[in-house]
Parts: sequence; structure tokens; C-alpha cells
Amino acid sequence: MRMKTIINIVIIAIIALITLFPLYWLIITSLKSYTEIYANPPYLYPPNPTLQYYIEALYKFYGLKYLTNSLVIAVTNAAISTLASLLAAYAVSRFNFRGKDNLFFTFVSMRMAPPAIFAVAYYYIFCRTLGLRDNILALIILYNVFNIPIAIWLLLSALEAIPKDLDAVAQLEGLSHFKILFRIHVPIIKGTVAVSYLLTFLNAFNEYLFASFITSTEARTITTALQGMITVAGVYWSQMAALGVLSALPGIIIAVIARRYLVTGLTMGMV
Amino acid sequence: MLPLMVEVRLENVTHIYVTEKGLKTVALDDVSITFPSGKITGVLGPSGCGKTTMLKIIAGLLRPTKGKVYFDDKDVTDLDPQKRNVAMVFQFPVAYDMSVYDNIAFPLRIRGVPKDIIHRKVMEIVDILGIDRNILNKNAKGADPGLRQKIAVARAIVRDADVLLLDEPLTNLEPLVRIELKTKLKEITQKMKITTIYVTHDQAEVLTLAERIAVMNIGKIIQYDETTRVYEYPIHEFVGYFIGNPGMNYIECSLNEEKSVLECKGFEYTLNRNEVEVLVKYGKEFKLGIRPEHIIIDESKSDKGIKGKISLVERIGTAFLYHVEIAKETTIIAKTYKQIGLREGDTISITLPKDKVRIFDKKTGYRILP
Repeated sequence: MRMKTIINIVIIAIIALITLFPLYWLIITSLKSYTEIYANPPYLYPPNPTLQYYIEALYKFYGLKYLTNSLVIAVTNAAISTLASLLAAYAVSRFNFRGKDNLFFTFVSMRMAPPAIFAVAYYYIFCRTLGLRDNILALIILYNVFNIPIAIWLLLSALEAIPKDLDAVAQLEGLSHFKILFRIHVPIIKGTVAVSYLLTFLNAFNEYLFASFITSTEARTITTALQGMITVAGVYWSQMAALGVLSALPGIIIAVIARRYLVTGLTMGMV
Repeated sequence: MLPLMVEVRLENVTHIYVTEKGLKTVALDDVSITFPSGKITGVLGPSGCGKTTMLKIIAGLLRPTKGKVYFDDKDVTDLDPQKRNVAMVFQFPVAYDMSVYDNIAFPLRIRGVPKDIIHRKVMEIVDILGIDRNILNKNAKGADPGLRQKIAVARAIVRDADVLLLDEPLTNLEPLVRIELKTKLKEITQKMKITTIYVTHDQAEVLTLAERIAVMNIGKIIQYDETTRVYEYPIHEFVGYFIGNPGMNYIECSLNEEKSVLECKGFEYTLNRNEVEVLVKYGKEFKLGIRPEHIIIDESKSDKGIKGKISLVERIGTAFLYHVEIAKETTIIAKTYKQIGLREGDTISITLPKDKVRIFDKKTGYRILP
């Protein structure tokens, strides 16, 4: 028994090391100077830790602006796609209408193709037709295409688990469908709703491909800004690492806050 | 405030379920029935006979394929469930993810009832149903099924609905809770004089609660009458078998050549002239029905009566069931509460009291006599 525990701890420690080491390396790089980064043998810790590169990344390289862009896009998009998906999932779960099954398949199939396939089409739609080039609105709208299917899929399975008798009772008590969804169902599946919001938030925050060709300067997001630090004059490793740390923060914070939800969100409890 | 009493009437209601592959199932087949206002009516029938479908149509959760639903003289067939003022309690207890108090208060809050009235009503109902006042602030989610069902009942009656629909509300509860809630339901429905339709497949529940019962099978109402009439004079052999614990015994018989007696397996049943006159119209083949509790076991071991061998002795509650083999492959069950010390293998004689014997048509299953 004790032997087993020790083995478990060792295995978990190895996995943690493998997972966390790159993050550690990112953090120490952001605190090291250019020469310290290229030192041989490499430093396993920052010899003269400094926050100078963070300040540079945020202000000199407009990191603050790009970070704000990313946050605005992700917060708004996650809210829109979760809300829309909630309504869509309720409709698919509770109403019968023609072509219901095909509709759901259409949603999900959008996720199956590589996103790059749609790049040209979206460039034309958003930049030429809608004139939203370098506008965060373009990304807020665009990310729905990828986020709504995931959120519907998540929320639908949670809604399906709610017994239909509950709706019947609520209906007889005089509740409209909107009230049934928001006052009865949402409290029950709040864990899944939270997971759906966080996943769509992360998807939007981490997206790179579409952000890279729809935005340039004004609406630039943090992921594409990182790419911008590789210049003809050289690579700004320290500043890049500092911005990298900052852009990893939302994901880490969310993972810590929502740890409980992420585990139980899919196996939600039912009344 | 007493709710307005409403009479519920179904007229030629047919409901057909169509599956995605186009398969059709007739759940209700041309049903016409009136549920009297302010009374409890039981609806009894085996699983899948259309009971729940009928309730859902009354509640407005389903729109009938054909036919009309009336509340008093108002046609409510196309009215949304939200507008019918019907309350329903389901087999699986339904409680929202909120405190016990909020659950019960919810239907009133939706209607914008003032807070002090809500509080008074909730407390009144909490006391009637015997819900512990100390648990009112706990979340109903973690409550046991018994309490959850009490909450569901409380929510159904707190808002003075016109019609109360109970769909097997006690089926999933533990025996003790079931008995408690059954008594409470009886008290409440008698006091509130609300039109109540109680659906179940457990006849013991319905016999104690309802004054009238409707027995259903395969989408049709087979018999609708006062509870005692349904028990004493089943209109069809299905009703006789379904109501009763155990159900009626049936013995196949045929009218003899001289048309004077019924020749049954194991015995002969004498008929008077009037009975013969009625029976001949239906042919020669009949079924004789008798309830187990009406059979008289002859303890004096005289020569009268039907001889038979006891093949099995069962106990249900305080009663004894004697399975008496009166002919090859023909067994009659006799029920008695007396301790008579008979064992398996003993030979006994039984008599069938004439006033309790019912005769059914073998072909159609309908009762002919009396």
C-alpha cells in the first residue's frame, strides 16, 4: 500500500515536471536579460531578475493594448456564444421541428474541418464585404462560428439530462419557455454553463489564425502580437516571454477557479 | 379561498403518437369521459394503457390528435398549459434547485402574490403535509424522494389550481412514506374539494382515495363507475381480473345440451330459467367469474360443494390464499382471513355463493349475468 502511494507520487511528480517545466522556463526567460538567455551553460534561474521586460512589453510593444483587445474579444464572444447556445440547445432539446437532427449535425460538422479551410472565405466576408478589417467586432462575430457548436454540444447534453417532467410542472405553474430555461434549468446546469463560458473564453482568447489575417494594428490580439516580436532586427526573447506569461495568465486563473466545475461540470447533478 | 370547482370533460379524444420512422401508436382511442367537479376520480390501468397520455391532454401538455377537452363548458383543447390553472404531480418527484420554502412559494411568486400572503399559505401547507419547519431553508436538491414528493404536492396545491392531476405520485416512495402521504392526500383533497384525477396502476391506492374509478386498457375506458360497483360488477373480465388482490377467478364453462346447467371444469353450475333465456342468446361458451374473497371454504368437510386439492398456500398480509385444484389444469384461488389450518395436499370443498357469481361471454369478455 505504501509502496503504491510512493510510486503514484513519483509518477505524478514526473508528469507535473514535464507539464510545468516549459512554463517555468517561460517565466525565468521573462526575467532574464538577452545575454543571460544565451549564456552557456544556461541559467536554471534568473541571476538578476528584473521586471523591466514586462514594462517594455506592455508599453513599448503595446502589449497592454493587445491584451485588452484579447480580453474584450474573449469576454464578449464567450458571453454571446454561451447565451446563443443556451437558447439553441433548449430549442433542440425541447422542441420538435423539421430538420432538427440535420441542423445539429451541421453545427457540429463545422468543427470537424480544419479552420484554415475557411480562411479565404472569412477574409472576404469580414474584410471586403463587411469592412471590418482590423476591427475587434470582426473577431467577436467570427469566433461564434467555432464556439457555438462546442457550447451547444456541452449544454445540450446537460439540458437533456433534466427530466421533461420538470418542464411540464413549470409550464403548468405558468412559466413561459424563457422563464423555464433561465429560472429553472440554468440554476440546475450552472456548472455546465460556467464550463461552457470558460471554454469558449479560452478558445477566443487563444485563437491565432484568424486574428493574424483579420487584424493588423488597432484590433491586434495578444497571440498575434507575440508573433510580431520576431522582427528583422532580431527576436525580443525577454519581452516576448514576458508577454507570453501575461497571456498565459487568464488560462491559469480560469483553471484554478474552475477546477471544481471543470471536473464536475460534465457530470452535473440533477434534481 | 376555495378554488372554483371545475368539471373536466373529454369528448371523443383520440391520441396517436407517431415515431420518427412513421410508426403509429394509438394511445387513446375515442375516449369520452366526465370527471365530476370537486371529487377525486381514480384512473386505473396497466402500464401503457394511455392513462398518462390522458392526463397530459387534460393538462395541455399534449394536444389530442382528435377530440375536445372541456373545463365546465369552456373548450380548452387549444389552450396552453400555462393558462389552464391545472396542477400536476408526477411519479418522479419534481423539485427545483432552490430551498424547500422557495420551491413551495415559487408558483405564487410567479403570479406576483404579496409576500405576507405567500408566507401564510406556504406555512399552512407545510403544516398540513407535515413538512418539518426546520428544513425549509435547505436546498430541495438533496432531499429524499419522500420529502421531494411532499414538496411537489405542496407546490401543486398552494396555488389553488382548478384541477389537480396526480400521476402515480406514490409509486416511487418507500412504504411508510407512501402510507403517510396517501392519508395526507385524502385529507387535503376532501378538505379542498378540488377536482382531482388520480392515475395509478396500484388499485389499493385508488380504492381508498377515490369515489369513482375509470378502468382503462389499450387506450379505451373499459368501465367508469362508483368504486364499489366496479368491484362488485366488473363490466368486462379484464376489470374483474385487474381490480382485486388477487383478481377474479375465471372458469371456462359451456351450456349443456339440455340448456339447464353450465358445465364447468370440475363442477356444474345450476341455472334458473331466466338466466338460461339470457345466456342462450350469446351461444354456448362462457366464463364464470368469482372473487377469491367470496368463495366459502367448507370447514365441516361435508359432501356439498366443489371438491379440490390444495396445491399451494400463500399469505398476503393477514390473509391466506388457497390455490385449489378443482380439475386438471383448473385452479381456483380462495382468500380467507380465518386461520383454518389447511395444508398443501389437503382435500377441501368450496362453495360459490350464487349472488357473487358473475358470468361473462367467452368470446367478447363482457359480463352477461347478472
